[in-house]
Amino acid sequence: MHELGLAEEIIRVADREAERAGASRVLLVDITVGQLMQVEVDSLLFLLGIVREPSPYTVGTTFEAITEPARLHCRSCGETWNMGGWVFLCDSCGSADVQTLSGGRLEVTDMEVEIDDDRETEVPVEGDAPRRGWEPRPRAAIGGEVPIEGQERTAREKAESRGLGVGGP
Amino acid sequence: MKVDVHESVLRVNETIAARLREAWERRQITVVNLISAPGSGKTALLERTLEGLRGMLSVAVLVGDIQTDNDARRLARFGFPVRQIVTTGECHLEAHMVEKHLHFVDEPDLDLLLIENVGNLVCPTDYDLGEDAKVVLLSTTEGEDKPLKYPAIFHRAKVALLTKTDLLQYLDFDVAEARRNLGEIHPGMPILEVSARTGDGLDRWLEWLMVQVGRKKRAERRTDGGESDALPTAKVEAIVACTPATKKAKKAKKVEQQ
Repeated sequence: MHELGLAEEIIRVADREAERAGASRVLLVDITVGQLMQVEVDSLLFLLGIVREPSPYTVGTTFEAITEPARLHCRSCGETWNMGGWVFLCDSCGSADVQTLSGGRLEVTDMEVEIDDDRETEVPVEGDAPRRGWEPRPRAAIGGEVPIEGQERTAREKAESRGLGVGGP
Repeated sequence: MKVDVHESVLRVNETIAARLREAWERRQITVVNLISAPGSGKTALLERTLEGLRGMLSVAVLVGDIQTDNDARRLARFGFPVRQIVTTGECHLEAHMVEKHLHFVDEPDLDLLLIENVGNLVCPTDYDLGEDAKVVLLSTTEGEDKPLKYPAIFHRAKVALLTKTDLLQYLDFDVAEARRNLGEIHPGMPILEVSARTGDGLDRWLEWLMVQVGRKKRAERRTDGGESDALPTAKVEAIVACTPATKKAKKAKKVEQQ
């Protein structure tokens, strides 16, 4: 259910990196998703196909997800193996002293970008953002924008009764 | 042209969580993040927890829900500061929400911050809130194989609570099988059986919380080079003495003596 937020974050990273590299277009974004992360890869790719649209850099970009397997290591017998089902007992000796070596990654790994020849010959003006009729979307405002009636008062009252101040936002 | 990025998609959350964790380390505040499916008894457990910790520790609560402030109202009865975070659709709490709402419940002498996450076994798992421990609840009405179906949270949690044990007599729930399943996903994780309704097992849960609080304070003192101390022992004893289970046991003993 949280894949939309992740997709938007991936687009933000891609936009920023494209701009930094002076690229005109992002052709490919490789994303690594660890096996231990709670990410539905199909949903993520589907949503990336939607949220890539408003950005001039990522229109038409291909997104690829690579799964990082969870490597487990037994500290008792030294065995190392790839996790199958979510069993954290040693495959060989049954020991519970198992260490997780990988599988927790969720990252934008690398990108393939296209550099426009025309743009490269332009003299860059320092501090001047490219004018493309598009602004990056701000981080979605989530959480507690709706004031709960009486809560502020309760918190303040509580603070006052204890002779303490409540910090500002 | 190829561009190397290697940037975490959760970087923003990780940065804020690290900031919160650092502040809580400095102030020796223990933070616990309660996660479970909707209806597993997080709020009921917190009610009994706050009741048990009254007069013992300075506690604050942040409670996340998609809608309503019903839980905050329930929890505010115990005299500790409580703040509802309404996520309006978001299925989990993120570090920026905690940071934004913290000042409503923060106290200079705060010992323990309890965060009740949105009822969901999937999404809250990946979002670090800067907490010391994720605590997962599994209720006896859910089925022994829930840990197998949603393994990640049961693997990440520091302790699992099997709740609603008072209902076991009416259910076919197999406690041994649930423990076996949990043991595969998270070998060695403590599993506490509790009933918020009868109070059974709550003393062990409160003791677990006290030990976390005590450890954090001790760890901080050690780095200060100050005296080694034993905060919790006295406090833990005091708490255990007034928990419902102990009271019940004492009462039973008294009746026996008569």
